[in-house]
Amino acid sequence: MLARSPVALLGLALIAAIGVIAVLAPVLPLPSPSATSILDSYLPPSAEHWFGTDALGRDVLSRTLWGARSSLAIGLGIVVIGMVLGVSLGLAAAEAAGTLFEELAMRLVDIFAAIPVLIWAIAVVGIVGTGATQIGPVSLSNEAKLVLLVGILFFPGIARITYGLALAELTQEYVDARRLQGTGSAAILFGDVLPNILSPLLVQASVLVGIGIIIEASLSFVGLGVQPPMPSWGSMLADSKQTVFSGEYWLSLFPGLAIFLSVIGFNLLGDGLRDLFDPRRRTRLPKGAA
Amino acid sequence: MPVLTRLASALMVLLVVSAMIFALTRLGGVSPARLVLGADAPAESLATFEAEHGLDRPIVVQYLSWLRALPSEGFARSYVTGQSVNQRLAETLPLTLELVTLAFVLAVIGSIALGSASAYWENRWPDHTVRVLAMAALSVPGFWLGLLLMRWVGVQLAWLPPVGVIGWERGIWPHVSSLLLPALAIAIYYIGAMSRLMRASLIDVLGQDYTRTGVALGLPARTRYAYTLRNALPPFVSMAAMSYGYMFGWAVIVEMVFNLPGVANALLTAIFQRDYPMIQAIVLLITLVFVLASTAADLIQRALNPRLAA
Amino acid sequence: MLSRRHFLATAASLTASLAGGFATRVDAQGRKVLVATIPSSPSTLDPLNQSNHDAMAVSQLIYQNLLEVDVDGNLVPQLAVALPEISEDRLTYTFRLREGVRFHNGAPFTAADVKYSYDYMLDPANEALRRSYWTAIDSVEIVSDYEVRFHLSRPYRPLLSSMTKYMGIFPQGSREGAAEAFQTAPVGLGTGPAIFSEAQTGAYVELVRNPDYWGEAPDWDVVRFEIAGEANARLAALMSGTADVVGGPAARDFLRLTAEGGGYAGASKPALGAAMMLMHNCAKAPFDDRNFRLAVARAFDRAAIAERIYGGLLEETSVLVPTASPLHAPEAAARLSMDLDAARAALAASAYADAPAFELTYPTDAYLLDVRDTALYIQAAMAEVGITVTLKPLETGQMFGDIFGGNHQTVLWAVVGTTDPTFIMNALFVPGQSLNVGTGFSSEALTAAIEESFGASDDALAPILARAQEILADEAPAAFIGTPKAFNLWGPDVTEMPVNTGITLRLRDVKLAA
Repeated sequence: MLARSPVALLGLALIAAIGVIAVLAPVLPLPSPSATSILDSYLPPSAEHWFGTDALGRDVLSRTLWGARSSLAIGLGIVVIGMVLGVSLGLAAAEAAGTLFEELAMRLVDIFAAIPVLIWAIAVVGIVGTGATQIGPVSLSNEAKLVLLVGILFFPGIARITYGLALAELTQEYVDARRLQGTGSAAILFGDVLPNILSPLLVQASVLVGIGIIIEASLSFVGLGVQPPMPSWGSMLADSKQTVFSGEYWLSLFPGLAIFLSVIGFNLLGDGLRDLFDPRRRTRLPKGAA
Repeated sequence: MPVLTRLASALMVLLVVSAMIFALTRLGGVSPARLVLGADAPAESLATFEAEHGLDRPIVVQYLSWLRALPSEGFARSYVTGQSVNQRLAETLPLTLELVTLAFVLAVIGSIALGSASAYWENRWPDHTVRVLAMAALSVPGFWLGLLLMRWVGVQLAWLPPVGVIGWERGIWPHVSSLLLPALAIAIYYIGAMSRLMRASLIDVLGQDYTRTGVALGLPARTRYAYTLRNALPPFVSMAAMSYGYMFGWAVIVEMVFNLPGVANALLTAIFQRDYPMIQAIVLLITLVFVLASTAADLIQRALNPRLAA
Repeated sequence: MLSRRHFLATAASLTASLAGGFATRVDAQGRKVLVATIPSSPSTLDPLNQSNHDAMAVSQLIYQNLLEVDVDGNLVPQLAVALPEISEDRLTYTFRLREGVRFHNGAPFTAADVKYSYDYMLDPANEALRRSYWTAIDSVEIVSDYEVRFHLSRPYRPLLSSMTKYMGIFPQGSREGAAEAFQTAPVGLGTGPAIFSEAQTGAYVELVRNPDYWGEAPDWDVVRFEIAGEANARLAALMSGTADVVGGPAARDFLRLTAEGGGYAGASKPALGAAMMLMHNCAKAPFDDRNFRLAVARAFDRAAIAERIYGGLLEETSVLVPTASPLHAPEAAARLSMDLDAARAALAASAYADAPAFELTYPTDAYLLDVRDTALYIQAAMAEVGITVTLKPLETGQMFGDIFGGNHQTVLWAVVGTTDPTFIMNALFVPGQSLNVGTGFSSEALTAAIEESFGASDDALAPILARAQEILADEAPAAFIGTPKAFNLWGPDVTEMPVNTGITLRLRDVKLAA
């Protein structure tokens, strides 16, 4: 099916390429991303260091490839949390249509939807600090906190879409038939309804991963995101701030480009999927009619 | 009474959100008393400070008394600077409002122009160009773009002031010019997002039967465009209004990069100083703007689209 | 519709800005303006409670002291006419005061103001930040209108150097009901060359020239401190001509711009009484083990940090006292030089040889020096000898919270004190002093040496300090890295600018192009 959309294919190819790099980073013949060699600081790109070295002589290529792991993991993690919460609540609210639970669930969604994501992410991480936070027996790293926090803030949008789509889907005759067969609510919701409304949700998810990657980069840029020695594109850009005027372009160019390519990959995929799933959007007038 | 219901729900949202941010600032680690009075402060002066600022009472009581004082006295004093939070907001909010409004204007004008061009010349080169640029704009982190603009347009080419803000007293253009680069760094993402929406919704409307009828009846092109635009507007207006709220989030990072003493920058400073009253006030204020923007988006959409109002 | 004239005016100003003409050398009232960008906003302008050296650049233009430190680091008189007469037993200091000096409110400056200011600072109820530096003062006596005498309870050599920095003289009676003024808008309270004009937190502080200043009139009419947290923003302000002087430039930018010329100039000087170090918490594992501390102190290359990260703007020293100082003890220093084998041996002998690890806290916002790169380097260097380091970047305020709560294991930071060579040692390692709670270390021998140095004359100091450095090398209670230099960067309109050995910007004597 994807073959019908070159845009989606291009996006998928980009994501796949970055994903493969992220997975393979540990086995590629690269220096460790955190190994410093202070006498080799600020070397320009060369045969030995394809992307040059940074202030501590660390290999920028290695850091960029390893950075793909944190950026993708966080971008995807955020969306997984958002999807799990949003889809569950959206489905449950639709199933409980007309009850108090539906009313409460959708009010909860309204409240969370009223929270501007970036401001709150900055404020919350800023207040609880970037160190590991102990919640009961669980110790959360800053990266985990970030994923949870932004994931929670992402859920209202997904919940609303799921709710709307599921409401419509639940009026279908096959749902009644399944109920008559004695199939339980959960089985119908997750077994029948969810697969049928998945496509538009995937479009949304794809776009949100891109936004998640940019949010991670922005937080790392102000020092509230991924913590060293773990490399991330956002913190690499933060490191490169000290070279904005001195011309070691390779410190900012490669992580900047990496963010750009991965976000554009997810956006292209989302676009392509939308064209495939939503035929109305593809309505085209005959040439010259406008 | 959909309007009243909407406003009531916005109010409730604000209450809950304010309670959340209040609880959060009280749960984080070190006591403000320790931070303000310093290391060698003896235990009794810490206790005095906490009593003075009501920090020794249960958190619910603290919240309720804070809430009760809000309408009459506004926000309290900052622990760290001892300055009135009201005054600090009055100093910093106008600049952020200006910055975000300027970014908003750039985004609206830019996206209507580009989106219309794209729809009008659908599948011809202007369309392709705009679509590629819009996709690129969606994928560039604004803070990186900001640094590049500051370095190349501000310092290298010296076309626009690279950092800081120039006061009104030195003229309108110098003032606005000093906000153009940061506004652009915020706007570019929204020009991308909104021009795509403009294009899609124009193409939708152009495909509707009534538009085709208009063509058949021989309505002049300009009338037709105005008519088409009006019908394509509701989703655009809704997104634009939401964007206005979101832009405050990006303003935090952009104000830092461009060194603008706005309220977003003050938030970062307050976080770094653990200045709880200030954090509460700023986050609440920005959330308020955000809630107002989305309420407005809702109401405008209802007004433009009578079918929804029912 | 734009009128034609309006359009032309807009076009003209557009062209002006296209040409890069943003500079404000002379303002609308024809006043000469000096613009300096500094990294952080003063949290208070009260000279008694300055914790931040950026803010001191502001308050030291408004307030003055009996003595000051000149650009070469020597004690010289300021509101006094000469250095004080010190009694034989070093318990009384008598200052002859300058006559004809007026406060910004017009009141004449006399001995009563000096007594009032010191009495206020010494009253524990007023919680002056650095009161502990002057507790040797018993009383302040007004001898005559222009003569004041300090009575000490014990000989205290650092007295005069502390007087230059953490104090300010304000008019008699001015404190009553004026807490707010001292903190945010100190009008009429100082004797200095500049008068407070206006300020906005996080944005700027503006001072105007004191027309009745008793000393040589400054070359500027207005001094404006623009606050810019980002090093890039400060540099962009300089390069676009909006600022004349940059405080706390990044080391690399400083070196590059001063080397390139192009109208930019700068200078650096060894700072007196400053140190960059890993400040261990010796009360807590693993730094409660002397062998572990020795392993850490010997496992990294101070010269590499000094040369590669700070481009020579840091001078390495392992024993706190700067290498260039005549008081430096090279034998003691050599005992802590980098030696991986010695480090491994010390580690093996320590109680934490099994899974050696520690948490390194550092300030995220560059206070005095950006230490982030150094933290990353130390993390990698420790890995070489098998010690795992977890980095804990904290905002300076939170970092202080950790230090004073004793929650940290070790903190990487730079501190700056006074010109007195024992200042930092005393603050760190003498029980009851300001930073001792953060080091959790004291030794009777070291305390005794420092106490002895207080009573010693300058000539008798060398052997006492050599002993102190031996103890530092023995115990390694902190891993000292080096002495940062003070460096300032300025633009083409500044023709003369003395660099202050005390690290703060010294704008009084800046000369501007005509």
